[in-house]
Amino acid sequence: MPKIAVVTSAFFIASLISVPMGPTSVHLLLPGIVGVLLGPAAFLSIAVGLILQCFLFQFGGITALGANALMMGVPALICAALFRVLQNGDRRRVVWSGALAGGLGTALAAIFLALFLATAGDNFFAVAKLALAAHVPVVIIETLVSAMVVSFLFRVKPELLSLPRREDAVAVKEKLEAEAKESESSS
Amino acid sequence: MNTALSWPESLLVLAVLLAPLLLPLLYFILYRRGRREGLVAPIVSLAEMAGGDSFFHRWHTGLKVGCLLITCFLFVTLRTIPGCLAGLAIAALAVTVSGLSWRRSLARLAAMSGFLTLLIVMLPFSGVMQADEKSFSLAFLPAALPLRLSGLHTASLIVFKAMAIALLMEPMLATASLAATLRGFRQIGVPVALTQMILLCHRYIFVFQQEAARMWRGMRVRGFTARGDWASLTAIGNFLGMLFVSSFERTQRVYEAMLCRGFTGEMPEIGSEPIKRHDIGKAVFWLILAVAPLVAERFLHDFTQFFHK
Amino acid sequence: MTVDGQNHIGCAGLRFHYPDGAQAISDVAFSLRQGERVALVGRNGSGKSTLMRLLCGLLPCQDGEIFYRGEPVAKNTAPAPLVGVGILFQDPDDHLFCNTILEDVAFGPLNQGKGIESHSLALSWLKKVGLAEKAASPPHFLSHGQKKRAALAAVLAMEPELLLLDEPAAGLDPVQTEAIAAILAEYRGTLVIIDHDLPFLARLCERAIVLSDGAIGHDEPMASLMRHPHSLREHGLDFSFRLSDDLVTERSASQKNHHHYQPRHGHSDDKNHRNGGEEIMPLLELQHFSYRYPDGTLVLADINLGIQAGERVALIGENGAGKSTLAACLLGLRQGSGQYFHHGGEVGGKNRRQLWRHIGMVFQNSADQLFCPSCFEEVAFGPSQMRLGKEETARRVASALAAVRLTGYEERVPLHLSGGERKRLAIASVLSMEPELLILDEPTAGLDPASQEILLRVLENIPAAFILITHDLFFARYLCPSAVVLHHGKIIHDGAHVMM
Repeated sequence: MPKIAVVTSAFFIASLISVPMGPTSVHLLLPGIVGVLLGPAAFLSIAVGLILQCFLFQFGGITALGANALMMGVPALICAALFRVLQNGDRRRVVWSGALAGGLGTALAAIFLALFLATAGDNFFAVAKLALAAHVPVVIIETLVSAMVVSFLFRVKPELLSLPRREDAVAVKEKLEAEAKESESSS
Repeated sequence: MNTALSWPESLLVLAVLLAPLLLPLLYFILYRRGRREGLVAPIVSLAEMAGGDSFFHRWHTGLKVGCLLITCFLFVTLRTIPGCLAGLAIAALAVTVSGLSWRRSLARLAAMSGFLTLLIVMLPFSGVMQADEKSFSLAFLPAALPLRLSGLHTASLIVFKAMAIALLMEPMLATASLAATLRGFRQIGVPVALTQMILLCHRYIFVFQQEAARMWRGMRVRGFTARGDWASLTAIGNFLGMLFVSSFERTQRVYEAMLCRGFTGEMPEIGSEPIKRHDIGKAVFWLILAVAPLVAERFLHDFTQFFHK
Repeated sequence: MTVDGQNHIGCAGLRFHYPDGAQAISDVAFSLRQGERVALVGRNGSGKSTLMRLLCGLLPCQDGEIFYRGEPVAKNTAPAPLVGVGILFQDPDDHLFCNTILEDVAFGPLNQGKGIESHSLALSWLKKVGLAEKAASPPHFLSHGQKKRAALAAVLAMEPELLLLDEPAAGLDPVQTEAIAAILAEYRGTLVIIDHDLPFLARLCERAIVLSDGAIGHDEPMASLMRHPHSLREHGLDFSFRLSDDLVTERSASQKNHHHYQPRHGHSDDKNHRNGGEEIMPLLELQHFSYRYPDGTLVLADINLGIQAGERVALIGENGAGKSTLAACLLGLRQGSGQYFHHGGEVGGKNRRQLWRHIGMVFQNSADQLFCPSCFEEVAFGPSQMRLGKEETARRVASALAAVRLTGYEERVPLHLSGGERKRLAIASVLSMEPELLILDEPTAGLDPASQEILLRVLENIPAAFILITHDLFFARYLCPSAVVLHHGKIIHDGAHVMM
């Protein structure tokens, strides 16, 4: 339980970063990456993050909290499952699945938002469509950034992606050489 | 019934529609004039404001949180513009009475303004026109795209309600220390595990903010400027990856530190807040205030119905 | 090994290896009596932290026995901290996890069941470490030194019989280290301290256990270890001389305010220092430079400093004197008032933002600077921001890595390197931009003497000018012919090193 809290703080900070894209900059939503890194616990992490946004003035009102949690939490869970299923330990595959998970997470969140709006009345169809369209650049950026992040994590700390730990290639080589030398000298 | 508007009238209508955008502008002018030095905007800590002395500060946190929450949900059910405006007025009054700086309140409103503008601009121009509906044709738009008054009505309701609820967040959350407010939440039924996570998360937000700021400085010192190209994205991806790795490692260490200080799964709690008579009095007073717009709406509705008959 | 009532904690035949196979501890045996104070020393990577975590109960005991209070400790697979043992990690932010430090210090006693008294107990401990007025502050409002004291208070408030400390004085200046030492001197229980700082350890501990590659190298009284100075560096003990008191007092009036390259000077009409004539143009020069924080606090007051090309200067002063701020101003990260000249041209606005091309900085915590998944990319980051093209970048990377003796490390992951290697990698990542001036903020922090030695050789051969911010006067004296001493934002000495 406390473990998720500390990691959630990092996600919170990450979501405050504005990524430049052409003329403007975009804030990342990150439900996909949260899902990839935390698995089923992602929902709780997102809920806590949203509550804290409410406290720390980022977010408007508490009545929409439930809807927002679902909107971001469910895609996170879906992407978590998707990533587990798709990746197979091979680097390219992992990065592609990571990118897909990242982009899909945001896309699903946008779709959920549009759905919520649309169910508010058929007056809201146009708004829903616009909301969806507005999220397209975010989805693109998130796909790309997720790819980078997953690629980084794969090389640096694969355990975070629930992959087996990989030894530093050079370190392994040196170890083998050292062992070879030892066995030579002892024989 | 369609009324065509002249240019000046149309521009006036447009200005009214875009009014919510004034909020972030106002915020920027009033409070954020300094140039931002870092990648991440500074987060104002809750600790700084909890030391006030007002109606809200001296209220029992559980009752306060509960009543204000009820108020939020009550306001959501408001149906008329006067009712929503009354709700907004009450919320604004609450913020003023609590003595909190308007900076945060304005920031909240500014954060929502994008979405609100979207609604207010889109709703009146979209949707299906009813036969006897009143509408306006703006001078610079084709006649096929009239401004539906009912759309404007709906949008305004949403805008006012959203603003009222956002404003109520301030007296609800910022008039006591985080620990006290969360204790209040626990008293209205929020699970303990969740509040503990919120407390811990809040603390480490600042730690990671500082780490992120240092990493960002390390990047800037080597000439990094955020452009929209592939290299920048790679750098940001690396930055985020490093942040996540650091957070996972820190999680492990914090957990061990907690274990070594006797943590058994629940954060220890001492101190209780007894409910005094004046707390209950405040609750009653507030709830009456909160219900007033709804009652007034109802009354007005019945009144006008009566007159139409 | 005999187990008698007097022994507080001990172990026999202890072995431990990490999941990836790295053998951390091999066959360690010792025992500590009640109230004994032991220094646990050795090179970085010799297993000190692992041993400490084993003793505390955080790591499962795979092989061998641990005895606590005369009884063998049951073997667990999950972390099970022993009751009565307090441990303090290196990073105080790991220990301060509540939203006010009062809550943090009260956390332990509350878990021990002390109920209502916990708060008053916490307050009294905060008073003892000198943080009573900050009791209601959140930890992120405290300085590093204050956080370390708060974390120590949080652990001591539980009144442990056995206290394990991992580098309690890391990152502190001599005054702050003294404060921590004073608090620890009053502690009456059994004490085990890991550190590299010899005088600090000598003051507090009577016995030294030296670890080397996971096994005990020596186990002897502190006094006899100190009698053999040539082996001290080998065993990971440091010579961090203290800033002597004379240096800190204000200098006489003749040298009071103007300390810089030109021995005689006048002021021209626009208040700039008139050029002496034959003197060479300094690479960088600050004239009457001041800096204030946004809230108005004066950090640097009337700084006059000149740095020549190729010059090596040590910047010394207590924590909080303004050294890092001065470095930030030189880099152009912050803008102060006064004149700042680069190659004679005034720095302001546009060329302030280009300063990074000429001045490089290596931060105290190398983790702040390393964020790429491979060493090559890390060192190539600077050149690629300068848009140098692939071949030139590759050439620079190769020469930078060679200069810091990390050739062959191109594909390794920076995070997996040791502390000393990471520091050298951070230096390489700045060297690849071929700066005119290099600023190094506490480069020896956290390094064991072996790594410091390599660092010394590397820095000796750098052609660029550099400013060395350090508390390690031995290092400073070896590398830099002159020193600038900063005290409360003012330069109080500038010139050849004063003899200690």
